Amino acid sequence: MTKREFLDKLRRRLRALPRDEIDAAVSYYDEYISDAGDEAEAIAQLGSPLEVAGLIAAGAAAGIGAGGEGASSGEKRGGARTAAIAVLSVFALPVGLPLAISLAAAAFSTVLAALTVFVSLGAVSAALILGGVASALIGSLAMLRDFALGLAVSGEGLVMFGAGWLLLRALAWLWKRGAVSAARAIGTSILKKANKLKERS
Amino acid sequence: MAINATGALLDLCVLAVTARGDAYGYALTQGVKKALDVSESTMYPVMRRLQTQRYLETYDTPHDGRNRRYYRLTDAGQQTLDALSAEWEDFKKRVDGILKGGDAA
Repeated sequence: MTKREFLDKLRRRLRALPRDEIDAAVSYYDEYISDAGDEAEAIAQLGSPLEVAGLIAAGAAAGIGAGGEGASSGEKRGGARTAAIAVLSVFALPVGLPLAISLAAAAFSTVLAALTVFVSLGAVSAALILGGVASALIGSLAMLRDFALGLAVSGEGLVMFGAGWLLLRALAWLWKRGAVSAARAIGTSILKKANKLKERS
Repeated sequence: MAINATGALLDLCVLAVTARGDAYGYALTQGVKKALDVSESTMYPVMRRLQTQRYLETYDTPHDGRNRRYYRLTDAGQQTLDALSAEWEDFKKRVDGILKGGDAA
């Protein structure tokens, strides 16, 4: 971790503290690391930005909570509340990551469900087409023995085939229009979220 | 070292180091670390607190094209240092009293 990274992370952890407290702490550690000579060594000895921020916030909380000399009890109570929030916020996880994960999971299962319906409709159309072809063939053979029955069976087969074919065409149209663009939209939104998170952490 | 330094003892050492001359953060930390086994990151909150209690005051001087913040002992800080030093002497005597088996008062 470079000094810049360390200080940036520290500043982010301290975000709930008063502005002057943040600036004082960050410039202290900026100076400290520069004065130490070996930047990497100094940063390793300091511990993680989280630990350092925790100590700063706890210290500031004690200071703010005490309210200084001459603070009214109302001010002290308000200060103590601010201080407690400041300490908690140091350890708070960014809410973005879990939220993004659950959104991605929801999007994924939606896509999966749609895809399942799609595939089963495809199977139905395939069954209709194959069944239709078979019925038409068997029907035409049966016509040799019993013309009326054979004609009925082969006609039924042609109806099945036609229905299957229509369903297949409809599915193909839907795929082109809907599914591909929907999947693309969901995919890019997930990628965007992921990139944003990567920048933040 | 095995004896942990917290609270008053840490305050005493920080005040004592600044009493020997104004010091900036890193030098002050190193000065205290000569005597006490404190982690680097516990020093800032202590210095910040001593500053809000007006025992220390700060001033900035340019150094190497950047800023360096020095800590200076105030009069109130000097009084606290004297009081804590007296308490330390007393504490030392009592611990020695136990160690050397004399009558510990």
